[in-house]
Amino acid sequence: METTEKTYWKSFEELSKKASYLKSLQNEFSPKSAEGAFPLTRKKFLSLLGASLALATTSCRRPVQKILPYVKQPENAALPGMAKYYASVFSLGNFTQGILVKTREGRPIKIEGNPDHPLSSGKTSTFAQASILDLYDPDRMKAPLIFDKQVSWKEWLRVTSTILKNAKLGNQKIRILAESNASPTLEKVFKEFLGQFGNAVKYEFEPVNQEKARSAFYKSFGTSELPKLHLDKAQVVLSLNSDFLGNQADSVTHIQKWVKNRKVRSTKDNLSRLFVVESSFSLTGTNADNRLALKPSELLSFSLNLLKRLVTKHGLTVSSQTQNLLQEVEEFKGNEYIEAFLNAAAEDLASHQGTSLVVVGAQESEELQIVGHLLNSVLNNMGKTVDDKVTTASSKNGYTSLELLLKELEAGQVDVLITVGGNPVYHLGKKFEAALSKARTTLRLSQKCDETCLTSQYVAPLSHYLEAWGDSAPETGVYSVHQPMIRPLYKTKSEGEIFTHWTKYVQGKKSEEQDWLAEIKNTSKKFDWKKLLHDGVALSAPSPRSSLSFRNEALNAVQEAYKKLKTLSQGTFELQFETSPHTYDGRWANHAWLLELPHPVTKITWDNVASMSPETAKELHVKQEDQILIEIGNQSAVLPVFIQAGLAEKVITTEIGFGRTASGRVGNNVGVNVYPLLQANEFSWAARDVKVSKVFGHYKIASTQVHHDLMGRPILFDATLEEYQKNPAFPAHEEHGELIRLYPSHKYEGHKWGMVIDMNSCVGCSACVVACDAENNVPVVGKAQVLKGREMQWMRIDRYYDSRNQYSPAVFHQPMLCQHCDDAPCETVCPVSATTHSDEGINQMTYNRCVGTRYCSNNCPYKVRRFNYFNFNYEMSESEKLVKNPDVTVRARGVMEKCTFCIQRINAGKNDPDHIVTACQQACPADAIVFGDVNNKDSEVFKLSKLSHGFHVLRELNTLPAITYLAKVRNPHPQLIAFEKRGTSTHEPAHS
Amino acid sequence: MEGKKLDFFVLIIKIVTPFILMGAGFGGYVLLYPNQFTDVGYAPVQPIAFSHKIHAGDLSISCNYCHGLAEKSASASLPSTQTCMNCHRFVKTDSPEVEKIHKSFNEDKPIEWIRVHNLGDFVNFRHNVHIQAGMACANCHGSIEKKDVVRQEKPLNMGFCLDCHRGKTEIVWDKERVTEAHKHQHRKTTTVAPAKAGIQGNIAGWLTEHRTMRASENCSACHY
Amino acid sequence: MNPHIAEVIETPQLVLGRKSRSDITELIAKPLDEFPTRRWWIAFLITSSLMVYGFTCIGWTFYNGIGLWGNNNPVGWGFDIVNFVFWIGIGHAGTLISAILFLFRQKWRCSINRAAEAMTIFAVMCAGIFPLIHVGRPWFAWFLFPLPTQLHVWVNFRSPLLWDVFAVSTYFLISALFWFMGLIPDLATLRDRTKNPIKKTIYALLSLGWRGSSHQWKHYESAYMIFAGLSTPLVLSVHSIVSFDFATSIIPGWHTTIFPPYFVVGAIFGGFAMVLLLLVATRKLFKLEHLITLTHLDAMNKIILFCSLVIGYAYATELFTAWYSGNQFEQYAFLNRITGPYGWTYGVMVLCNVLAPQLFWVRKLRHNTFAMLVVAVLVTIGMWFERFVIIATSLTRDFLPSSWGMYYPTWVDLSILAGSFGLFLTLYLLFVRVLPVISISEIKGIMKKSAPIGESDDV
Repeated sequence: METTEKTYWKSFEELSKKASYLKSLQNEFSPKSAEGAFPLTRKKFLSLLGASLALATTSCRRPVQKILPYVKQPENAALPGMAKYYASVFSLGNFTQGILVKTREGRPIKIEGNPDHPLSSGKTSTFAQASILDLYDPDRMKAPLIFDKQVSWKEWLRVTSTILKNAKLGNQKIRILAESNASPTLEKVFKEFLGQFGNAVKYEFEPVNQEKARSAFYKSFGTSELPKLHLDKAQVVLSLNSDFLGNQADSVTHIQKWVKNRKVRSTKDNLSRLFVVESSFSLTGTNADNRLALKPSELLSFSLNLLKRLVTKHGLTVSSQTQNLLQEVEEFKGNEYIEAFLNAAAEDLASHQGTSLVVVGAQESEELQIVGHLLNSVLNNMGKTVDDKVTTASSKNGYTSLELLLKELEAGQVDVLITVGGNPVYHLGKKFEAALSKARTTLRLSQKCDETCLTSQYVAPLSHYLEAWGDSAPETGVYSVHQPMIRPLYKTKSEGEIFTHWTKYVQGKKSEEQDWLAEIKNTSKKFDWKKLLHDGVALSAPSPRSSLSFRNEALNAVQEAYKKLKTLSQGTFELQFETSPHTYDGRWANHAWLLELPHPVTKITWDNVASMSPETAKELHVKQEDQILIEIGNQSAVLPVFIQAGLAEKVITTEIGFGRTASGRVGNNVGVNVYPLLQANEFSWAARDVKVSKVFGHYKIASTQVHHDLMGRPILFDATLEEYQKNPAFPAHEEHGELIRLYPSHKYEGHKWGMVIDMNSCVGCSACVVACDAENNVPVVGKAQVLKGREMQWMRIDRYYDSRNQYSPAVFHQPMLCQHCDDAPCETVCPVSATTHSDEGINQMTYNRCVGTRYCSNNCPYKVRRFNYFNFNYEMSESEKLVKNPDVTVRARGVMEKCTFCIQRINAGKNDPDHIVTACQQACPADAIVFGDVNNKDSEVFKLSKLSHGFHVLRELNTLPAITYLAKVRNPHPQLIAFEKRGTSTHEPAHS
Repeated sequence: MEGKKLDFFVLIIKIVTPFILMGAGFGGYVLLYPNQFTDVGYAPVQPIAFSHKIHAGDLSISCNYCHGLAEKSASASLPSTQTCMNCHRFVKTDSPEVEKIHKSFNEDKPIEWIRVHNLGDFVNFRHNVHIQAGMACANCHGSIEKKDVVRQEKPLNMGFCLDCHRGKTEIVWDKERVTEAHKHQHRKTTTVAPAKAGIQGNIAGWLTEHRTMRASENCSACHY
Repeated sequence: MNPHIAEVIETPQLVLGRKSRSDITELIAKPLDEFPTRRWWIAFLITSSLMVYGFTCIGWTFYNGIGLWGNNNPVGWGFDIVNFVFWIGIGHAGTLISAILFLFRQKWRCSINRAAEAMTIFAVMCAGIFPLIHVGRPWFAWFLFPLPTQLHVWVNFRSPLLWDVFAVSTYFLISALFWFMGLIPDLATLRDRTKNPIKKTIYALLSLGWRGSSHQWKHYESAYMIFAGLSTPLVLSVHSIVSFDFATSIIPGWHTTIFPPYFVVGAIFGGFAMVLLLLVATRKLFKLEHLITLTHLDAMNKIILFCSLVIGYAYATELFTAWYSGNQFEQYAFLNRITGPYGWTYGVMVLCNVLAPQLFWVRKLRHNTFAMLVVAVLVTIGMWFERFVIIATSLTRDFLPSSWGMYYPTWVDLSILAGSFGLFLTLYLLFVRVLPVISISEIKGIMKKSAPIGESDDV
């Protein structure tokens, strides 16, 4: 049913006088003033009153509604009440993953994984899930600008084209600075464009780049095409500061592969083992079987020592150059744990040659990465766990490659600078801004009116990827196309369209609408176009490349670096940068879902902080939420202190991507911008000689979890592999025998919906949480409300530390959602029966019956119910309304809500009950969540729920949850188990 | 105070109280039984004087011809102008009402029908579920094929729905679809309560057995 | 009622000074004829403005939502329910005094029951506000009543909150009627005294044509007796049921069987403290020292002392049970009450409720109005904190450490609490202006050479 055509134009002021407008935005919804974010005008209040009265009686004549049917209904038109799915891809830098986009009444409302795509195989990352909201971001640029003046596309293209034409005639210097992408067609279009000019060069920049990785790989193997990793084939994985399960663009792929060897179904299963050596506390670290926290500066000597042990202790054969290098390597000084760790790692790696894998963070120093490659080839993993054929897309997109451009700019030699996507002014800071202003003409293509736009002359808005045609080849042999789901909401075009137009114009040819699409069709002509669109991906055999053999020349660099290490001053504070799970590199800064998504490890929302170990804090005389000044060179930043257990001493970690000033109404001035620090450190992610000092002031950190100790309560259970094999039913020992019931038990004649959550697979990536937000119209509340403990996410991932190992705490991620208890404490206490038990075992929440006594929430032992303390949905722009799922009520103020097991999906799927999936299950890259009908004896959920190591949270309360958790089975190295004081967990709540 | 006056006061009280009580009673009635205030009989003037009597009644065109989506989707949907044109390109082209259809078709302007049956946003009614279960449209829309102007026949409030779901109201079955309904009950879903004895094929018997039928009383069947 | 209190208070003279009946009437009814004193006006001004302020804040809450309060995710109930339980508790003494003491033939009650009952009704009114506003959308309150609407859905009779609705409304109804019953003869007296025609009319209407004939007295007394019988169980039931809100839940610290008696005693305790407070003030203001004698106050002090001992015992039992149960959640809940972030509130509670009243072992202090005031105020504070300790601290830390939180009241919370006091005092001030603070008829009944009511025909 088409409603009258809406136009989402906001006042043009926002574009004409940008600066002032953006200022006004900053005050509009900075989370710091979120208390004032729910003003109700008198009108609104009355309408609310009216609405509520309407709720009170189901029959009140509402104002006349019109129904406008099609005039001529097109074939496969968007039909009212029916969802349509389109295959597409979501790109993040060079990485892309296949997605299916759910559209209702012609508008995309949900991102789901594309099962046919090898890199996502039906799963999605938090960013992919969240990208849907970006489409409806009210702060997107809505029309092209020339010197801050609103113009039509025709005008803009005409002006810019002539500029380029003249540039060509005058043989001027044209420079393109683009963000990375995996689109072969776009690259082709760029090449054609550059080909038109005598003096045109394209640069790429990404703050999170593969520059070091590429050069390290080149030095080691003579090619800079990065290989694909096969975590699924590795029995022993060693991560050196690599967060492959966490904040990497391609984590979604790695998680799927890694968990393949982590599932425990019977005592016969064996687990892979993960060693993590890192200087931050990453998500990968929380999933490690053995974790070791080191300073960034210690990593190189550690890795060399490991190699030495492999050679000396386990007699691995290495080249003579390597021998020489190892001669110089001194014993790694450290406590007995590090010693044991080295031995354990060496032993395991040596005994798993060909089935082990050493992963080094892509942002780490070249030398460390080279050692990583050396280790892999010594352990002859090349061609086994490190693929020697398939390469993943990467490009020369680092800082050093930019230096030439910067020189040119500063010298004022550049005539036309075209910045495509990215946000160089924010990433590269004042220095670049100054340089950029020296360019004679600056063209800018961007989705948002960001910092770079503000300093550019000719600005054009780009389409969201769901509005435009495009394609991508994330790794050799995988090609996919993305198609528009919806006509551009605003007057936007895609990079491809613009560049094809320019090229044509410069060539003096006439350009058409379909040029860009034609280019794509041209690239993909070896595939069946219709099938390609339908499947979203086309696979082809990768072209073989010469097998990879390690070049010993690479070792010279290592040698120097190692020598240099010793000369450097020791015992200084060191700073480790990380990408942010909220904003990645700052691109999602205006994204409310992601900003409010609790950090997978720290559970912090809406901020980046300076994390440090308690000892370091003591040394600096700071407490939680104090503020410190961090100085590198002449740059500095003031960050709030967050005490994080399990970090090496004198190490401070912080995240990039915050402190945007022109991101939009949500993201402006959220957190602190640490790019200046990163830049002062030549974009190397580990900084030494950092000056740290306490500064006056206190800063509130909005964390959704403040107690991290299990306190020996029967909330979750874990065991080592041996313990599990000895006693497969180990969670049972806590039980209190047979529990008595007073109520007669429910009969479930039809379905009985249930869920199993495998804590062994769950890595805590939080994709499920975002998926739930998107599916169930969960509102965002802002920092002030999170501080009050009023976050609304239906699903949370509880994270507990266990200090049984003094050197590195064990970490447990426990997804917590409504348990749909058979004897639910919430149901009995609701005076109006707003929450009741369905005859399919679902704990139903009836919003329009709820009066809001909050008694149910009080009485819920799992505290999974969420109350609308304000009308969180009132402050919604027209465009934001479009992302809401029409199948789920948008809850008003004063109503209790909670996980419904995606009841809308269940109701819709009744005719095919075996294929109902909840949003969280669908997103989970680790397949940790399984939902289904437990009355159906051959359903997977039934089988899993009967496993010996399954348990119910707080079973002794006898609430009989419908969710069974599979206890965590860890696989630490026998020698390292010795360091664990088992079964000890302090009873004081750990205020870390 | 002397007796007379006193009795007078007492008298006043005696008179006043009953009135108060009656007032309260009436107030309560008004508050509790808004059935009297539902939209039954709401029959707005439509942009085109379309007559269900002629089309569905006299010509006995199937409901699905225009509202076909009701089988597949939650919403029954209205026909596109094109659908009307299928016949009216030739039929009764001279009538001023049909003129409007042509106008809409030629000018590519949708016809702005006015919604008659309107449920609250907090309830999810699924046409397809009910149709597939074999219920006739008449259950909720009344004998629409006899109406020139569409009017709301049933209160369509929660009580109305529940009476049926609780097996209190007699159901008008769509004979062709009842076999569908069989499948429904024998598949063990609770969208339709499991039948005690499903008499395969024997529709007549089945109908007599299921004059009324209990259906899901889960809140979450409609509210989510 | 334990006997030794009874004999202590049977003996002494309840009406001091040689007064004739007309003197009594004069003494009590006089102030009602005069124009309010300045002191009264000042007091009234303060309390009423407090009340108005409170109600403004309530309006502000309806306008924006409960978000204005400190309530949050683990802590669904904060000041709202604390205040509710607090006021309901206060509203206990009245009916206890008028009904139970009446049945026990405690003559000394006669001079205090009127004020106490009034106080009760006002307190219950204050209490009634909170359940209504704590949902934030009072226009949905009617969902809570079992009405045969077209929705064809019923309320959930398993929910203690629903029992509350019935218990409290019944209690309010009965106490109000009971109070009005007692007023009828006095209203007639006032009707006959007053010269002002308007007043006369009103009093006349209210006194329902009371003539004071022995015939009427006979019916009146039996009716009074029945009412007393009716409201006696209510005194016990109301707060037991309120306690079920917590006792029937599973939250550690709430889920305890001791709650019903514990709450009832607590209620009587707090109620008596409040009555004491008001009486001391009233007798000073209206110079009623002759009718509300130290003997009365002494008797009340003894009851307060007794209650405080029971309360203390209850606290101890709670701790013991928690320890003895061996249930780690229970144990931690109580450990947390004392040592946790809200430990100080527990301290205040014990200090005010258990220690402070011990002063009343000293006879001197039992007869010292200032000491009474101090203790009464302390007990009132203490009882409020008791409810806070029970409700807030239990909710902040329940089963899953991951979902623990803190509770900080906002200025709106405090304002509404203040407003409720404003309402309460305003109503009381109005009451003392327009109705006899002491039951004229009953006081006459207990004077020398007169049969107390109820004994004329023993039911």
